[in-house]
Amino acid sequence: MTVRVQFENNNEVGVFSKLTNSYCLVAIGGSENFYSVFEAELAETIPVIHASVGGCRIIGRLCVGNKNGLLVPHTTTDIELQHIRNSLPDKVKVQRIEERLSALGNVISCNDYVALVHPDLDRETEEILADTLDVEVFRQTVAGNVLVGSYSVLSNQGGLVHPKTSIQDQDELSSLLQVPLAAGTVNRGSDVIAAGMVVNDWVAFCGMDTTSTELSVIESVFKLNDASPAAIASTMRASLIESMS
Amino acid sequence: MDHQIFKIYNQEDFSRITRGIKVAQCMQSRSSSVSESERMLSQLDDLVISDSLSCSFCNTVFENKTQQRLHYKLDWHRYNLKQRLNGLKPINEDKFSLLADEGNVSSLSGSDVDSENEDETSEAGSGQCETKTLIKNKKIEKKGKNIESVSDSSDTEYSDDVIKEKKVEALLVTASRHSKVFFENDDGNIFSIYRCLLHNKKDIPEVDNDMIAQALNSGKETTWTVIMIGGGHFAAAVFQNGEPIVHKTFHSYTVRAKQGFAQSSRTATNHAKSAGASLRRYNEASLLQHVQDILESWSSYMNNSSLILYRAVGPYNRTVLFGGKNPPLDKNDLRLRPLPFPTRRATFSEVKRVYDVLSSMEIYGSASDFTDSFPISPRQPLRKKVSKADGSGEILVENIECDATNSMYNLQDSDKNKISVQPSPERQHKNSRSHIDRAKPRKSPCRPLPDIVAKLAQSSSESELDSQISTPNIPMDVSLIEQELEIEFNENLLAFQDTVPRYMKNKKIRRQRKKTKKDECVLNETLTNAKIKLWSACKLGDDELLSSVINDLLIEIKKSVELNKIENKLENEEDVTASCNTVINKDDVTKLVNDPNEDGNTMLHVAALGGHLKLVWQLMEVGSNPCNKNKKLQTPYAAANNKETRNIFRRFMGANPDKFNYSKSQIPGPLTDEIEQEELEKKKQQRKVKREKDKIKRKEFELKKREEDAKQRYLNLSDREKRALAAEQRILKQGCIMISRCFQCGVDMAGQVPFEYNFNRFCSMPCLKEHRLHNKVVI
Repeated sequence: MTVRVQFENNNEVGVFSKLTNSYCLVAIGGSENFYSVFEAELAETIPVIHASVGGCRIIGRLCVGNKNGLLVPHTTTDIELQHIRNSLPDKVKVQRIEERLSALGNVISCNDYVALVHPDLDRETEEILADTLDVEVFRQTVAGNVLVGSYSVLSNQGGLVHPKTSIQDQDELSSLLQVPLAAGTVNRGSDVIAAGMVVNDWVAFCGMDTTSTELSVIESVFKLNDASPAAIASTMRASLIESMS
Repeated sequence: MDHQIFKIYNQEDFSRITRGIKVAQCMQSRSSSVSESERMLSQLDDLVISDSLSCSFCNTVFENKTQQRLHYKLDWHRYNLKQRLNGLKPINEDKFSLLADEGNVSSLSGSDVDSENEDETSEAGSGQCETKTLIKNKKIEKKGKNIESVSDSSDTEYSDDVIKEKKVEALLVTASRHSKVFFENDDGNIFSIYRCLLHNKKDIPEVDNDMIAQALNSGKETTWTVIMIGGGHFAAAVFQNGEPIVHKTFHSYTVRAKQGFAQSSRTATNHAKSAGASLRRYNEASLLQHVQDILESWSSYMNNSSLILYRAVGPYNRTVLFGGKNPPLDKNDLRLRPLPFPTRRATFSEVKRVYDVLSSMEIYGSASDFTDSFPISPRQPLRKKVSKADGSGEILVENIECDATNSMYNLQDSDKNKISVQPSPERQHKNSRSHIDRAKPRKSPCRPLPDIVAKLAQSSSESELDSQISTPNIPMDVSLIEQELEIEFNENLLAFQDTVPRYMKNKKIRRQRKKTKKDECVLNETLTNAKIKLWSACKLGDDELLSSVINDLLIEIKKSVELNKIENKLENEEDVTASCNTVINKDDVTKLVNDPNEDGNTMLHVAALGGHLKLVWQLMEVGSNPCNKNKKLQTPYAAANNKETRNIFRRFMGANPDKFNYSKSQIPGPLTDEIEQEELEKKKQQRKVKREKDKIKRKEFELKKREEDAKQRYLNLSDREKRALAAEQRILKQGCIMISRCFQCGVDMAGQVPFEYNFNRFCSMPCLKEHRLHNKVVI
């Protein structure tokens, strides 16, 4: 399921929202239209939290997280942090990080198991990242860009990378991350993929400008065609029950 | 090998070239593939997790997954990442470990940026050298390959493969969209025919054989009509075998000079009634008529021609050809083809040029050469074509401008290569430029000094170092001389000597304490005893004890002074040291008095706190400094509890203005009897003024109160009484003297407050009683 959405006439929805398998953050002060799109898709399964980070609405670029945890930059105020903590499910760990590269969303790209990070990221941050999000951390670039968080989007099903990523790089990244990767664009050719879309294992939201071709690429890479929480359960049911008996 | 051009209407050449014709490889792949987006989607369907175990940044291959994962966390990998980002060569593991051992890359974690910069710059130097050598090699080889990509990676063989693959891919994409179709013949040569000669845009042949048939056909049918129309110009010609059979060119004034647009498109918005507008409108109509007439007269030629190539840009020009009730050309005619490249003004020479270009077949040489030489951008061949028609001399120049790597025309091999390789260093330079991170500080390049500066520097150095005569031709050897000049500011800073930072102070105090502790054992008993007594005196406020102790001490001091005198006299005979311990001088006493206790309080503090005025005075006389601060940073003056104690400090200051440096004691100023008197006076006056003010206030208050009472009383009256009062006052005003008399006894009651009941007034209570007794009223 892929949905086109706009944040106040802006197509960079990845900037104003953060989507994971266990929660969804949306920027405060948006229109009800924006929220209702998210809530209609997600509210039954995961909490949709209205939040800000350091007084900014660009939460998608500032924080990074997966189903296990959420990292926010040091600019986050205590009240914001408290609000986010209160709204998130209990098992999600929240951690504030002192990092020079404070737009964590731009320098880190992760799914529930692996993370790609900016080569200059602090060692300490890397450790916190590994502990909080429960991921394995690799330092790498995407198509010669150090801002891996901006130029790649990962889910547990697949990943979309900068359109100019060479085939060889894609192969290496794919074998490193253990997810299939494809090069692509969003929002009618925008190469800042992460700014243009958010994705989890069963739904993706992308900017209103996204063409149908781009949508079909997104759907097939992230395997969203018939994916829903229920579908995952049904497809895995056989193996689950087998293993239980 | 040769790049040759043949005419399609030349039957001999055509048959020779098209012998064994087949569609070139690059075109085949295109025709076999379905639409592009579908292909992409099909690729997406079989997306898989790749199992490549290599890192292209470090040029390494891994044995298993764990090794791969570990690799991406290594500093070596990070280092190579940075090298790549800076456009430098990656280094292998051994080299890196060497570097690491030297300590050049010890701090690779993100937090230390500066140190990284340093070794990056050092690396950059060496990297540049390597790229330079690479460029040199290239020049020698003169292969005309893509230099950028070669210099990017160190491994030339490996990169060659990649480049070739890339080239083939790019070729596929561009060739499929190209305005020409490429064929291969028996000789293995690639040649091209314009696509518009073969088929209409709408019915692209799916099978290669169809296209081949069309190509063969195109050589046989060589009667073409070329029509160009635009901007009021019209040019048309019918060609057969390279020769124009009929042609017609004319121009009519339909387009507004320097403004553009056909008049009809203008009149759609605003109906200009100017002379020019009507002129142009008329001309448009006449142009249309003229064109239709011409084309109608040519109908026999046109029916015979196999192709009608036209150029008519914009809706107006198109309506001339295809519009109207009976259009000169049928829109659905399969022979109609638009021209596949831009043209100039429609004139007969332009029509001829267009025919020339379209009818030429180009031979590019063998397939392998073609792959290398085929320009990536599809627009470039067009420009080249234009120039070719103008003259062969221009071809070379244009080529070099268009694409340095293009070795399509090897007519003059050596010349061309010289020129084509030349721009490559620039390109290399640009490439390395693009990798400079402008956010980071860079090492300033060391350049040789300009001649003038160098000479100046040298001459000055010579004058200074006259003994050292260096060779005049080496300006860079001039060394700077360092001279250390010590300037002492201590004198200027004397005023700030006692403003010591806190930590220093603490140290000092500690040191002092240590010293005193050491000294204590040395101090003689009289002093220690005196100290204890003094402290107790201060605490208790016992000023007799204090004065006695101090007197004792003073006596001791006198004694010791006398003793000293005696000793000085007897210096020669006796050893003085024995009695040294017992000697007390005044310094010891002041020191004793100024000693702080554990709270930092001196005796003066204690006395001030206790409010013992005499003690304070005496202590200060002995030498207890009022500038000492306790741990709360209070001076004794600030610590004092009451005003009198504080005044004692001020009095002392007035009496002994020079005894201490009072500036730090926080004592506001000296106090003498005169000053005190003045202050008292001042206070008295103030009090007087205040009292007067109070009086006035009280008076006002009373007046107000009275008024208030009256008001209250009046309000309490009933309405009837109020009326009576008002009437009374009216009468009073009128001047009659109203005499009220007692109801009972008839005494004049003026000035009395009457007793009243039932509206009867009486002078006194007995009168009232009497009246009541006499007139009993049942209430």
